Amino acid sequence: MTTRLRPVIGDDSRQFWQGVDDERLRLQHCEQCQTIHHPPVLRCRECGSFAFVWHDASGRGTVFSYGISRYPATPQSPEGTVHVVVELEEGVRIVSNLVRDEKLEAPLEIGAPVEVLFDRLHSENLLPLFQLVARSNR
Amino acid sequence: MTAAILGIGQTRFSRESGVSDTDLAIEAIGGALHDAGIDLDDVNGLATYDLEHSDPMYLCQVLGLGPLSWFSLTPWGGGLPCGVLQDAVLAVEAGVADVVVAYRAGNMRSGDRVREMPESLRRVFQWTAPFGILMASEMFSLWGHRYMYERGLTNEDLAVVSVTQRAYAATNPAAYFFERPLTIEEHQESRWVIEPVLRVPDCCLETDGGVAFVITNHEKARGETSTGEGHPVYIRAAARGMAPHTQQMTNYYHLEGDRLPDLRVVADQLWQQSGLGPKDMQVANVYDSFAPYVPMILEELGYSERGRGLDFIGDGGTGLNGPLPLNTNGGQLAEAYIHGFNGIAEVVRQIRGTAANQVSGVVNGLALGSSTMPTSGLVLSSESG
Repeated sequence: MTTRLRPVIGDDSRQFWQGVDDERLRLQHCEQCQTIHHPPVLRCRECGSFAFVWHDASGRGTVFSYGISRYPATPQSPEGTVHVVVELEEGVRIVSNLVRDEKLEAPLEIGAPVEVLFDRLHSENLLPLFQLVARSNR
Repeated sequence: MTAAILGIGQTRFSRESGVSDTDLAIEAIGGALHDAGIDLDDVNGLATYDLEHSDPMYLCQVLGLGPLSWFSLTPWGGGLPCGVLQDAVLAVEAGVADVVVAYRAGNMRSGDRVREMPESLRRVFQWTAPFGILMASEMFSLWGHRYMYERGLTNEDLAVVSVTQRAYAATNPAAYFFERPLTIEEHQESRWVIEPVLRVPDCCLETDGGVAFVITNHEKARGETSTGEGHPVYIRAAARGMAPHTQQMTNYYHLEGDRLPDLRVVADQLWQQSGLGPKDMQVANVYDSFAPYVPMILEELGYSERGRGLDFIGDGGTGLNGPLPLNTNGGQLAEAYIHGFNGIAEVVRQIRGTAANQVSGVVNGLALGSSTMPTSGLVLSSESG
């Protein structure tokens, strides 16, 4: 089922989604003051610069907030879909879906450690998704 | 400010009106004009949302409205119900229109419930839509959950919001939940919408209906007699605001879990314009599309300490005898969801002394649009200031 809206590709987002297509989670860094931005911007909120460079993120972070879709379900988010805001190690937050690994008994809770993976969840395109990791693995 | 609300009108609130979007708009507008004692032919301004279900130009075609010297469509939905009225105030104050009708109507339950995301919003929602986040409940729950987590609150703690508002609705004959109060036990037995944040009673209704206002200047307001519903209600402040880096319901990125930066921009203007403060409000109606909004707003406006918004409600702070009777019509959780317009009408009734759940001695009241997006607010009063 390929039902989700495709990403909007614009001047702010092109580098991000090109990275995702290559299975890389890239973040926008201000070339002048090195502040990291997500969502990306066209003008640095710290120093006002318009110049940016993109670097790979570690892909690791923690659950900042989450919600499990129960009712009503939609084709884009069937029952049980976990929407998540991840706080990345780099200090910025990103919205995604949490993919549950049934073999791993790590609890879903705010603060739980997660790491990125790339898959096509109800989408034609690759998405940066996240999965729980055992705390002892970190 | 030199503008006043001279009349209000509303339709029956239902889940299936059985009539068209246009019929609902005409009924609400007709009610407001009758209440104001203003003839349809005297209307020369018209304002609504760009998301309005009825078409304003079609209304003019079939009603023969006008000639209209001014009209406006206010963008982005629930943040700006008070923004539609602010547009009307600005038109009246600028002298480009004398009598402006501001309205919102539609079959928002039985008709077109969930629309395809328009191209103009695809970019606004570009960081959430690809992940299947399309409904307001999905967007807001991520914000509300973080707020609850930081406060150590569970969904059971949240129940006090809908229980309080359902009690108001139970004694408001216009409310969808008239004579149907809710207990905490019933709340906890209800179905999850977004686990572990929102259950069904924590989410606003979807409603067929319409609400309309007649806005004019003080001069006109003094010259007209309204038909039995009391005096004009004066607009002491009308503000809108958009914080830097705002997001529509999805501002998870740059704030503490409880901050409502767009509301802060609006609140500062409301108090500055009116010369009044939070403690001068005897009643308020805030945008409660989801229950966690209510304590968040109380905290942001300083009615309770940070983290104590739910305690303020639980202690009766928003009840009829509390320091801030709030959403006294039952709000959008329990009266109807008319995209914020029914809350403004309730503040007008409270100031006129005609509300179903009347607070004693109301002089000033506060109305707010949805606080998690570019937003708006009004300070209304029985005194022209």
